[in-house]
Amino acid sequence: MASSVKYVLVIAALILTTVFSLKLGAVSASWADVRGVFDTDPDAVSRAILNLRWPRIVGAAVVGCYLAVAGLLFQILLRNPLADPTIFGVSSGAALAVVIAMNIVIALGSGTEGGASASYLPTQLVPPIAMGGALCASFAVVALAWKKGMQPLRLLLFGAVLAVVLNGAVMTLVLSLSEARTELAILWLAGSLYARDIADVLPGLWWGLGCFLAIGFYARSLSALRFDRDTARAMGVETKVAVPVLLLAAAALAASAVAIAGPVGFVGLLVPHITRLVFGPSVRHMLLGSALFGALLVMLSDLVGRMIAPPLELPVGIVTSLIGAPFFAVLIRQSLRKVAL
Amino acid sequence: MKYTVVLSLALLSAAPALAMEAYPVTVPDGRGAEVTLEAQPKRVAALWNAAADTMVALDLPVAGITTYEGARPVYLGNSVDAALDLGDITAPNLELLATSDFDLTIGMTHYNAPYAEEIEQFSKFLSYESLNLDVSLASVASMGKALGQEANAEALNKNFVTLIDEMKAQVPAKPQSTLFIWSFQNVFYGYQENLMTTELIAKLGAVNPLGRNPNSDEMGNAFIILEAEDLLKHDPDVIMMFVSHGGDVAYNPAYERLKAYKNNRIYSVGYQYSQPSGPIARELVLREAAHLIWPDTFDAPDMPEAARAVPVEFTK
Amino acid sequence: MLGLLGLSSLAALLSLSSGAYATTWGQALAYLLHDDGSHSAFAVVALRLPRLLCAFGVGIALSLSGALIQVIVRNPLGDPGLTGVTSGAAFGVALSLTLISASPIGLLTTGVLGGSFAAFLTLTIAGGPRAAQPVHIILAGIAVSVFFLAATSGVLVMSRSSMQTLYIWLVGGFINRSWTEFTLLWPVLFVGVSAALLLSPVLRLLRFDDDTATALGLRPALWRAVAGAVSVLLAAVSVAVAGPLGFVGFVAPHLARILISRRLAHEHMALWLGVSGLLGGTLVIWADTASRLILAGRAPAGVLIAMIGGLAFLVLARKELSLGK
Repeated sequence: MASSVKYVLVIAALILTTVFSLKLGAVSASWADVRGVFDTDPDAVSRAILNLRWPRIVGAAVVGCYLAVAGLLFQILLRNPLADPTIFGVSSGAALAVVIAMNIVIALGSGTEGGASASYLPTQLVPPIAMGGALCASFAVVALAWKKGMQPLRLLLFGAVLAVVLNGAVMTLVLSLSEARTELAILWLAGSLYARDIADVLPGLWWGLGCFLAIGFYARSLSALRFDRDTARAMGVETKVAVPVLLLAAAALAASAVAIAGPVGFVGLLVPHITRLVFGPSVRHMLLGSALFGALLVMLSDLVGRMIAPPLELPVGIVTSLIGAPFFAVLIRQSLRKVAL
Repeated sequence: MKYTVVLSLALLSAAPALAMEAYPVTVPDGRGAEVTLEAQPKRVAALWNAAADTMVALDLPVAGITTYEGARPVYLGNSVDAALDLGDITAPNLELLATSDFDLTIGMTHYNAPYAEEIEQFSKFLSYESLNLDVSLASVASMGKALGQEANAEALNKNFVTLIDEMKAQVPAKPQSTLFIWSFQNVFYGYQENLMTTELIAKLGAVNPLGRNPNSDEMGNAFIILEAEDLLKHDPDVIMMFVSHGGDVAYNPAYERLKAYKNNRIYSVGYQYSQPSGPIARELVLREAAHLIWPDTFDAPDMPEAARAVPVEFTK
Repeated sequence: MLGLLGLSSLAALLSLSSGAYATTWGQALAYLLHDDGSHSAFAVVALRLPRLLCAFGVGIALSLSGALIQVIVRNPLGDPGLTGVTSGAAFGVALSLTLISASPIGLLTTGVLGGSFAAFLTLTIAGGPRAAQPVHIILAGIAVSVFFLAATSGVLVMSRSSMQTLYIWLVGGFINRSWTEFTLLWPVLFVGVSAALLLSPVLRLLRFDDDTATALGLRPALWRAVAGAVSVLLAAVSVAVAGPLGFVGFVAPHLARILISRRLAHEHMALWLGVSGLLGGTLVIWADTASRLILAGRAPAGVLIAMIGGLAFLVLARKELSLGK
């Protein structure tokens, strides 16, 4: 099957998912309601679709796309097929930075009557803060695991441990808040698109754009970097510049995703593998395919989370973990068989 | 419900016609936002349980409500059975909220205010905090004004303050120490005097062994994590415990040395003690606490049996 | 060893004499010997002592569990947490807490069931007891861990449980643990410790690769399974008593190896196990005491262990791996 056909199918799946995500939810909507979104004065259901479901769909697509591409970059640059921003501690670093910032703001804002809304970070600030945390965590993992190169297992273990340590720190901070804020923090930490507005998604879009531009610029280098550094240099790639820039872009993408929805797990791990299965190893296809599949996965997960037991919602991060972990297990089995053969 | 009848009798004097003339009305809510309501809200979503409480006390129908661990406020009895279940207050289902034709949504500031803008796209939004008595009085007055029952809400507040003074006058001279604990399995949060539940109990004249927290910020973290030996040290006359997530109270050998245990004065109390800001809840807390502490002086109030305090039976 | 005992005793004395009924160390010890019925004595004997014993016991259980895992996967980076057992046990406990509001015995049972199931999953994914390579066990463990953590969160959300209350448990700690919990802990601990010590000659041989071990007359897969079962049991009971505490299982055996020199650790498995256990107990006791005294209980022991233990892991693991294993 030619690649273009595959792309068409994936995009078709995306469109279908979008459309059904608009229609399905805690409140049953008819197709007329969905079309009613375009009216000049839509009725309540159509407005709910426009104001509540549509931003989540966009957010899900963005988060999925960013995480998948970030995961792909980590996997290529670190030559580790099991790299993922969450398993890795990058998402935890971003989360920790945000929670610390929340705590600081609360500490500064307390004592003011009615200042509760001011106790939350303005949405424009969250992505850079998250990014700072993500970068620190990335450096920490790489620095810890580096030993004349990067063994996959080493990196994974250190990343996993760092993630747990950072999560421990996050938990301490969260528990030190009063009960009410703990509930909100826990919800956020699960990775959730609840009550996300377009305004929550917009800041991330700009950062993401910047990252994609950088990636596009270095796409050819990325292709060469799949091999070890010496080979890449022999192929004429400026590894000294390309590698840090690409790593930075990956961390920034992951952090932007965390800024929108909190830490959503497994997307960065799985999607590149699925993409490789479908589109083959060409870096150009991998980038595009991962972006598309990532968006698809998270959109579907959010839909499942919303539909499962209204009025309750299962946060999207939990759904991706529940789906992702078994897939990960299958991946491990597959790699086992390859070794055995 | 009997007690709503009692409360409502006191309010019949306020003519319904007054309500019509009140609109449009501008109300400052707990966040300090000034919200203007053009007309009497017909369908109200009470995300905050104290809002549902206030509406039941004012004899207004509650159209939407949130639940705690799956249940509607037990102490409100059947009055809110018809209300739409919107989920948990920490994350009420926004789609349901947006499409069920609510004119007004009343929420809790630290849970719901972060997405106030989204709610305001389809209904008016007011939010308040659960803190202490003063905040409760202000919130009820504000909600009353928003609902077109300003006079009745003020009457509720006035009657309650009078009630506190009346009951305080009847309290016997001998002080009783009372501890209120919010518990889950092995973890005990002892409430200090700053929080409304214990504030009410303190106003009656009971002594709170944990005292007042001078550094408590507005978010109400005036509680102390208690070890069993702390209980022993304080040895209160009465212990009231809100057992979160049901189940039995975990046994601890320290209990047997407490005079509260020996006198059978450890009680498992209802959810209204955890959220006492509404008019019905605060009156029930006041009356029932008084009855539990001074049973010879005060009778048990009229309330749904399921919300009544029960002596704790320990599973060993 | 003596040093360790000394350290533990120090922490124990601190904890025994602090609290609402503060006493001097001498007084606390006197109470242990002779309970004079006063509240102070009661606090020492009936409240602080069982909490200490629980902490110490859990420390021993977790460190032995970790040591066993490190032997099984032939990798010094093993920890019960990283192989999915603690998450599985946490899931089991969360299920019974939210669905049945269970008693302590019920929690223990579901904890063991959950942990065993998770361990079983990990092993299956890694290729079964016969073929499982250490690397794959660790990877599978991570997958299973994350899955059960997500499942636990899902259970909390679906059961509409107040999140914070369960979150406190999820962090892990020893507040208000009494003889009830200890009564559940010590039989399992006894069985587990005895089994581990009895297994030590076999464990020595499991260090070698399977071919060598088989040549020596051993059935490595079988013994790995047995050791694994003991490890799971110990980890599960720890979770049931104190919630999912991480890192003790890694740090303690590792420090033990450093303390008694690597060669000795390999030669005398029983010694290593013993020192690991003591170290684990000491660590947990110190964390719990610190939590009680310094933080007034606001940060349960689990938080301290996670942060300090995790940092220790990072430092030690780096050193360990660079020693050219």
